[in-house]
Amino acid sequence: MKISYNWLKQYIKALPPPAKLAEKLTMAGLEVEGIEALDKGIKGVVVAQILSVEKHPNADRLLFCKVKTDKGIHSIVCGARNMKAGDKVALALPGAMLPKGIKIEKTKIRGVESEGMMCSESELGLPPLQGGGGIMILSQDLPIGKDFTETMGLNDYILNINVTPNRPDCLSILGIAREISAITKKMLKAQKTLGKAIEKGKDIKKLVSISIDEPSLCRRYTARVVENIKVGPSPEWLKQRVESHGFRSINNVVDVTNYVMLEYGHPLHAFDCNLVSEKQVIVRRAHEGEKIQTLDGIARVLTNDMLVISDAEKPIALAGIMGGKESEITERTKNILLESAYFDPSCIRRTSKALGIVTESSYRFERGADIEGVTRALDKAAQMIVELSGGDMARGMIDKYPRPYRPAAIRVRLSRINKILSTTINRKEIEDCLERLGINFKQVKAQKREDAVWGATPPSIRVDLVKEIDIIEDIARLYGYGKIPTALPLARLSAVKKSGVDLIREKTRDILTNNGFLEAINYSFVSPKLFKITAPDIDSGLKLINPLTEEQSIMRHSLVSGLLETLRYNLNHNNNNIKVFEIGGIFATRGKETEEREMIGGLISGLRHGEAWNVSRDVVDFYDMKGAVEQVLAGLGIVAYTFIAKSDIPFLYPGKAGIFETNGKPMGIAGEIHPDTLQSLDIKQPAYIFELDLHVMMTAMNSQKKYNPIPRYPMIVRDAAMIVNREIQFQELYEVIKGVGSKLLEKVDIFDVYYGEHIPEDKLSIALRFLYRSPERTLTDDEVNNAHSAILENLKNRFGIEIRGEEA
Amino acid sequence: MKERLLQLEKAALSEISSLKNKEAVLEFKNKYLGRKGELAALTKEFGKLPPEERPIVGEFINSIRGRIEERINNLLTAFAQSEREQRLKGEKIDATLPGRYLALGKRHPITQVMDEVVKIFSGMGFAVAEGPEIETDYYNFEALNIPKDHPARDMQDTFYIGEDVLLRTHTSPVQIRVMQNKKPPLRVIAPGKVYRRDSDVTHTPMFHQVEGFMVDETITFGDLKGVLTAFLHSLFREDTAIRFRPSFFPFTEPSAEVDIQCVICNGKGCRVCKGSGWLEVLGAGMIHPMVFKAVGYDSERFSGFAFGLGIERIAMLKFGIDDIRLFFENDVRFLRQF
Ligand SMILES: [Zn+2]
Repeated sequence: MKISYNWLKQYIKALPPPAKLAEKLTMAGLEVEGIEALDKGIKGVVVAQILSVEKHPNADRLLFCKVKTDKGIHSIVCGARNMKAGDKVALALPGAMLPKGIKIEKTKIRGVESEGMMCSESELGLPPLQGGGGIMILSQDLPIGKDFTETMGLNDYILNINVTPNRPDCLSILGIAREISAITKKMLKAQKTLGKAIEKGKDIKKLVSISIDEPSLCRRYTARVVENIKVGPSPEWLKQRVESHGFRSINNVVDVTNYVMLEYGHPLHAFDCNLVSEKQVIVRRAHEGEKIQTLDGIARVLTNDMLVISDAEKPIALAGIMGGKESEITERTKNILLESAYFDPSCIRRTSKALGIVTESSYRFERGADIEGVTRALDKAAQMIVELSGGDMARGMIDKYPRPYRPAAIRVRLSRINKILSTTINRKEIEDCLERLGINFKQVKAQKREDAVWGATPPSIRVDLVKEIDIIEDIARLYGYGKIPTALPLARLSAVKKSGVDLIREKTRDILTNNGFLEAINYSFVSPKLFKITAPDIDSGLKLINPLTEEQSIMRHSLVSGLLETLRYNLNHNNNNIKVFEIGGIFATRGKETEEREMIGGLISGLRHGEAWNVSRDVVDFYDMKGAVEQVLAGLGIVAYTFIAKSDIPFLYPGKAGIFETNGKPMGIAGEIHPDTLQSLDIKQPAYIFELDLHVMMTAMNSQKKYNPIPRYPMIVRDAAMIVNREIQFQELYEVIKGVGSKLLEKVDIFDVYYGEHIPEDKLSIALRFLYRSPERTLTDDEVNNAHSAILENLKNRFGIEIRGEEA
Repeated sequence: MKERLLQLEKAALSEISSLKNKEAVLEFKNKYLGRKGELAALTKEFGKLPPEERPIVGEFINSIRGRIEERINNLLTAFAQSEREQRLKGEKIDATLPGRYLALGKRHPITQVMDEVVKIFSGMGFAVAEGPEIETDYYNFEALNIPKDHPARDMQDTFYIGEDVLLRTHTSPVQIRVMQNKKPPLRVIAPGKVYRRDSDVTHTPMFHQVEGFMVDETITFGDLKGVLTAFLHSLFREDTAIRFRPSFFPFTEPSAEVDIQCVICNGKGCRVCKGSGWLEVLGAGMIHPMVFKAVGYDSERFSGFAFGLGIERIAMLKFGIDDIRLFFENDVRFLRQF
């Protein structure tokens, strides 16, 4: 809300300076987000009159003028040509300041002395005139020598105040003034009321009739009529006022309704009375499908839960939101009907949302207007219209008010105030606060003798004060949050234990960052294109009804989509060596239910050790990624799992992918991204991903660590290189080796895998190192040989492998 | 005899100073001190001496041998040393070249700040609770005293998935879920992702929040001030100035906005604090009786405070980041810095 400092001065004597005032308001809950000086730093510019305009003796394109101020006659050289002798202009005298810190000095232009500068609109920081050019020509009635900013109302500050939704009473000059008065204890200046003498016209009852069909949605409707007015442009001061508060100046009627709304906070509307059919005004629900063209020129189709102002035939306004185009005030308007009403906040908000129209009026009505302030605004506006556009105000007003406002008293307990705030505020201080807030109160019987209880009745404009806690908040506000003592609560001790989920996240972050992975956070929503990479069926996705962009319109189904986006982004910025992981939610629908799962995902691509002068320039492969996963699983104590190679995961390279399983349940996937997928994303280097389900991991996790004794007896090593059919996977060999069940076999390591020269094309050579040991004694060669050959026999029988470098 | 011995010593000592390397020294040693060397040859004449001179001459021979040996040893040590120096010089590397290391990964700056916030509150006995990111209108709004058609809904522009299903706009729904399932006393924080329909230099449609609350029989506004002051002093500097000013949230009353003295300009006024010298970092307040009513707590018996803070904002202040979107671009040159 924009608030003029000078306007406030009309209400409060000895108003604190702007910055000080802003701080006081902020600390009372009306946050001032900025203070704008309207003069933009202009100093020393005065109203002057041109006496003569002559040619510059040395330059064809310049003029030489004599200009008069109260200080004398000044010689001015000027490049503009739009002025003539007699015009009044804004003259910057030597020493004057213009916006952006420009200083005016005496200068010589083409050999002729110029004692200042006649200013254009843009040089004065004002919006330039349409089709303009040249200097600003001022109104003839401005006195010569007067300060320019003062005459134009620019010696003012605009406070930009963030009014919270609970305080519609502060959406006006009067509201803010009332608040300042409560905060600073300065009295509000009394305001004039409407003099009876001004009502000179006919009896209003003879001119219009008004009825409310829907009293629950319109609790009060008042109107006045002014006849024989002359609609025209507003005077400068009014234009300046409404414009500096963010309104466009329209004419001397509409500007008045806006001016009064700014001053009192109550929205008004003026109809061209002659265009109201049969001079009948009916407040009713719109018929289903009924149409109205609103002032913005848009045709609106209405529904039955919307409220309209209608004449005998058709709607003439969307109640409390926007008037109709047909009954708009124009230069031809002679008689006006001025409306001031109270509309139901919910109804206004629903209609405003449904039609997508937010106006200054709807904004105030949906937050709650002052039902008792309706006629004050009406009177003020009618009077101003008469003053500014002539006309005769009809005698009397129409005031339809079926069930007048009857406020209920709120019980406020001294003990409760002090309990909630941990204060020791006394009765007198409370009563002082209530008084400053304009809350009527009287003490009522308390349950406990030491307590005090009041029946408190807030003013009608304070729609937010309904319950005791509301009053307590206002008292705390006035008392000052800073004065409330700071304490630390007494509480029972409690042990805070980390959840299993948290433990997994923690450990995973530790392990992966130690392994060189950077943690990424991607948006939870992705583009349909990215979504489809990991989810074959788009209908399984959760779509946003109102996304910001198509790129962020569907909830991700897998972390892989975001990680691929991360890769693409980095490659586009020449970051070619990527090792990233992410922990976060993925989403899906299951029938009508939505499902959220938390996942751990990772992606690697590029050089294994990055670019450095002293490391190998190897490129990462499948096993770098798989090793990282295995490290995470080991670190979490997840041992009961298997990795099953798979070729049917759509976005992964067939033959370079698979799934992790635990207890027969899938726990995650890993593999190289399919070349087609990479191509579709314009990614030009291989990438490897994994994604694990955190909740499945939790079922397999064993975070209990147990000590294993360090072996006391030596181990015996047997190496065996074997030629194996390439179709056979290591996992199968391993299962067979384990299946032999030798208690002496401690471990099998792979120390070489080779295919190529000297090996048949369909075969590969794999070299295994078998470690034998007993925890109880030193093994003999015979024992080891027996165990070892049993294993090799089994492998031969099962897979028909050929043992090469068999050692005895 | 003595004469010849002295001559021998003189010759040897003059020769020794011209020796250039270890080999020459060894040859020299052999020549003078070897079994067939010059000193040995003289010693052979020892027998010809009268018995009474023998001990004296013997001692003299030994002293000459000792002196020559000492010179030889000194020379050998010197040669060995210079030889080693030569060798080491040849093996010299450029030690100013950078070292070799495995690049460590980093936690995301948001994770780091989140962890820090959670740690501080854990230290004060707050337990961590979590809830779904996809919420119902009831938990996100209704139960928090934000009825339909209320202008307060404009404070949080919402992403919808269905008519009553939405992406949570704050982690406050967790407050409702916890209170529905547990009785006071409660000390809980709820960290997590939240979503609002907003995008510019200071807003992203997804961000992280920590909401916290404490409910018991005697919790006051003073406690709210105390706990949040302790928290902010731990998160920022111990002497950071803090102010509480009135504000409005539908689910708390009285409500407060908590400002810290600008960490960029120390309160003098700058672009980040818009010249005010203060930075808004927390929203807080006493839990509204309507919220207690929604979860079936007696608001005459129990009272409590709740607060919420945006992690991105804190991270931006702590690290001096001026564009919130950097957090979610995941440029590795950004991620590596924290
Ligand atoms: Zn600052």
